[in-house]
Amino acid sequence: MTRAHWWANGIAACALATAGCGLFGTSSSGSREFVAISYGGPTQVPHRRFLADPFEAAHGSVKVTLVASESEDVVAQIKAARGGSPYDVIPLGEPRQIMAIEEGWVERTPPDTLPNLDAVHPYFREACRGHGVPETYSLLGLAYNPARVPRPAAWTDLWKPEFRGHVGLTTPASNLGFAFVVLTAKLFGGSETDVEPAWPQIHKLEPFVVASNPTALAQLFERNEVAVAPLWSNDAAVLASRGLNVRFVQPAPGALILVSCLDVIRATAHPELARDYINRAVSREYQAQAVQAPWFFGPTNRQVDIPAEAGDYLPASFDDFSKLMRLDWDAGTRVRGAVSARFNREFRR
Amino acid sequence: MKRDRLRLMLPLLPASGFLTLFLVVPLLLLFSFGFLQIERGEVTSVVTGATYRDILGDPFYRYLFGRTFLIAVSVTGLCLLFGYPVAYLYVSMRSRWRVLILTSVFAPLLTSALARTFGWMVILGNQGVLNKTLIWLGVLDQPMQFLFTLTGVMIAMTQVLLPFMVVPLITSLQSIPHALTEVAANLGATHCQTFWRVTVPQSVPGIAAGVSLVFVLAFTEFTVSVLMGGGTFAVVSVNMFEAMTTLLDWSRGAAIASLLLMSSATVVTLFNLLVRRLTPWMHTGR
Amino acid sequence: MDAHGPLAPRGRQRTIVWIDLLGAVLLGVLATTGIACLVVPTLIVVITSFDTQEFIGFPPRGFSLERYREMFQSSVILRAAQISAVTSAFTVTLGVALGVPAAIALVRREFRGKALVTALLLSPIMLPGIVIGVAMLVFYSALGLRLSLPLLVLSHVVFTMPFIVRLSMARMERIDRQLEDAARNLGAREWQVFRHVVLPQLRPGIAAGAAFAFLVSFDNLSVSLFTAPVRQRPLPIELFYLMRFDLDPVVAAVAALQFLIALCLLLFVARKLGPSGFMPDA
Repeated sequence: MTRAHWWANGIAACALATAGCGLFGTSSSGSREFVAISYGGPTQVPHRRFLADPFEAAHGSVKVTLVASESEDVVAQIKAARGGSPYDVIPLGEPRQIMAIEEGWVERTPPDTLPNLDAVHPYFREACRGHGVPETYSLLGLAYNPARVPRPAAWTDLWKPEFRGHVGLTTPASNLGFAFVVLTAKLFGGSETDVEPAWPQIHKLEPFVVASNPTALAQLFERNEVAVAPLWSNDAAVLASRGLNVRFVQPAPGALILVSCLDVIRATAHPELARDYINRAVSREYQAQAVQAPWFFGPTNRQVDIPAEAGDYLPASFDDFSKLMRLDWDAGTRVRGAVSARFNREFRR
Repeated sequence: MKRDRLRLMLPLLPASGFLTLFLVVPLLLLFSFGFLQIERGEVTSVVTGATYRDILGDPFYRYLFGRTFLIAVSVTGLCLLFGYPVAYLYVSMRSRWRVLILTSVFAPLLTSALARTFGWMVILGNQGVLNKTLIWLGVLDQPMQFLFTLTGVMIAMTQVLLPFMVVPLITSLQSIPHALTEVAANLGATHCQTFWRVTVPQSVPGIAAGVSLVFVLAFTEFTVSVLMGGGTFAVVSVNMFEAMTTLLDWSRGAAIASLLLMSSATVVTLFNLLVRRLTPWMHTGR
Repeated sequence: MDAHGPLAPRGRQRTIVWIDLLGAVLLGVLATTGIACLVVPTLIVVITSFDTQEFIGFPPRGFSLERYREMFQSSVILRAAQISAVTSAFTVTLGVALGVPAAIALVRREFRGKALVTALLLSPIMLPGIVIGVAMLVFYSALGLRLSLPLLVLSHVVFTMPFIVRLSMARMERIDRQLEDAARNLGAREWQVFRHVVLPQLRPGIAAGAAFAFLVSFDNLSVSLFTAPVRQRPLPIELFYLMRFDLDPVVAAVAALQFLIALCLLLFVARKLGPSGFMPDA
């Protein structure tokens, strides 16, 4: 080996060591990293642009990392991490919210740290049960591709022959999939606690595609793998905004509403920052942006107006809420594990 | 004498010590974890056969293991079906062509398994390359569902694992003395006869190595299954991943992993014993 | 015709020719399909990476570097790539430090239990990655350790070291012992023999093993999935979640670039070793 070689190797080794130390040491020094769980795909944009960026600007040395998650993986990681949590805040749909409160890993946030909560409609505050803030709501309706299937007017239309072979679903590991199973049970004589009637009915929908999460399901519209699917209003709106031939309907007897709470994880290393973050999520400034096209995140703040073009995706005003379906999630949550296991066995592929 | 022995073994100590601590101990721990009761990462009760009993007594898991086994066997068969001709072509070609074949065998190894799965999703989709070609050729009149089906997963898995079949086959085919095939030809054997009676029997070690490797990899394959199978695709590895990460049932996950390891080792051992029994000519002293 | 020998009766000869031809065609078709199958997905990924469509589709609708721009602007991907690169580099360094002395000893020394030690050192090649991953997770958790990058490196060494051991052994077996004896006779000390005689000859084997180990480590998903720290996810994990959630087309750009880098690395090793260096036992 020549002298030059030795030098080259030495420099490479030093560079490696420096890079390594930099990485291995990140968690202990430098700017504070704030990790917020967010939504997957393009629905993450409002969180980034109108929540995280202004938040960073207000706090100087804080850097916000958004982690896309809709599956239970993240929840499992939070529960598994002993001591400090790897994440600081997390959005949870109602069923998850109930479970998280029972399991005790989200904070009962002191109301005096959340001044913006005063402007939030009590209908939503109730849904989060004093933990975190009701950040938004979404409607569960039917998304369909008008070029390939007719417009479904009611939930039960899904069982009509025109839709056969075009249906997409998600596993009950996601709120979407779980809500659909419970909804089916209710449509056919069951209830939140008696989901038995759902199974033969879902079998009648076969053949269908099962995606592992709502974002993945929405993707299947892009690639024409499915033409009709129960979907969240936000995911459907984003698809349509991309120029895709996808429409969203609120089928009879009504779309299902699901409130999403933004929670502070109890084991967070930055409780003050986390509380400020969720307080900002119910501010008029943030929600007035998130409700705009193409996301149409349902506003919980009474001072925010719903734009006209959100017509298909959101109820026109708070008075229209009576037309929406709500599920008894307290009862539903108790059967969730069993529903998930049953689904995986019934529709194993 | 004793010091000599120590000096002799010294360079081996770090490596074998490392693997003992970081592989053998973890594996033993994995087996024993299936006997513990764990909730939220805390051991709540020691020594219970309940987890293993639950799994072994559950018809769903019997179905799961049986199905995974059948998928692995089919994929191994497909790899052999396509891999053997590729390897055979390689050894019978001149060197310029050899480089080309070798590059194509190694290209997938250089592309991450995730990327190739991505590629297959583009190919197998409803609007994908395969469906468009088949419609253009007039074979189909409307797209066929490949994505999220067993067929799609098996196609992708075969491609991902094909190089692991081809490499040992090439090694083995190359070591067949040229004289053997020449003698056969001189004795009046046709190419077909030479192939089946000389080349194939002589390459048994390569076939056995390739089949063992591909079977183990297919039996425990995860990436393709989870990304291309859709939400309810049932194979052992995906089920174990869910038990570990979403259900957080570590004792169940550990038990499934142990069973997965033991069953794949058993199958490979039995297979190799069978090969030895069926091909006595490979093992008699020459 | 004569090649089939005088023994074959004339009437059968024609059938034999047909069978041979059929066999050759079948073989050719299978082999071509196999090779096409091997190459096409990679090609598709590379082509898709230059596409202009907002979601993945085929055929491409145009040419742009948009996805590469997006990749280089994504702090998540860049950070993940950096984490992966550093993890793999440390993995290889540690793997070489542990594996090469072992490989030399396994080739040059005779002792009882050698087969067992060889089997132990090479066994991870035949072990399913997903099982190794779960076992490591269980092990770390039993020790009460929180997942971190150093632990990730240790997990990666487990399944990459065998490649270093194996390729170094293959090279070591081909090194001429007489050269070393000659050096010793000329009065060279043991470490001088190693440094000036053995090492220069062994280097291509180490380089090949290290390159292979680096690729395997850089691309690993199954072990990292269980042992990577949650906040510092390596590239394959990040890509996995990107694909699981929304099949972001930026994945194509990352994959294409990764392929290109790996190809360069392979060509570099090929130059050092010659083409035969690819085949481990050839």
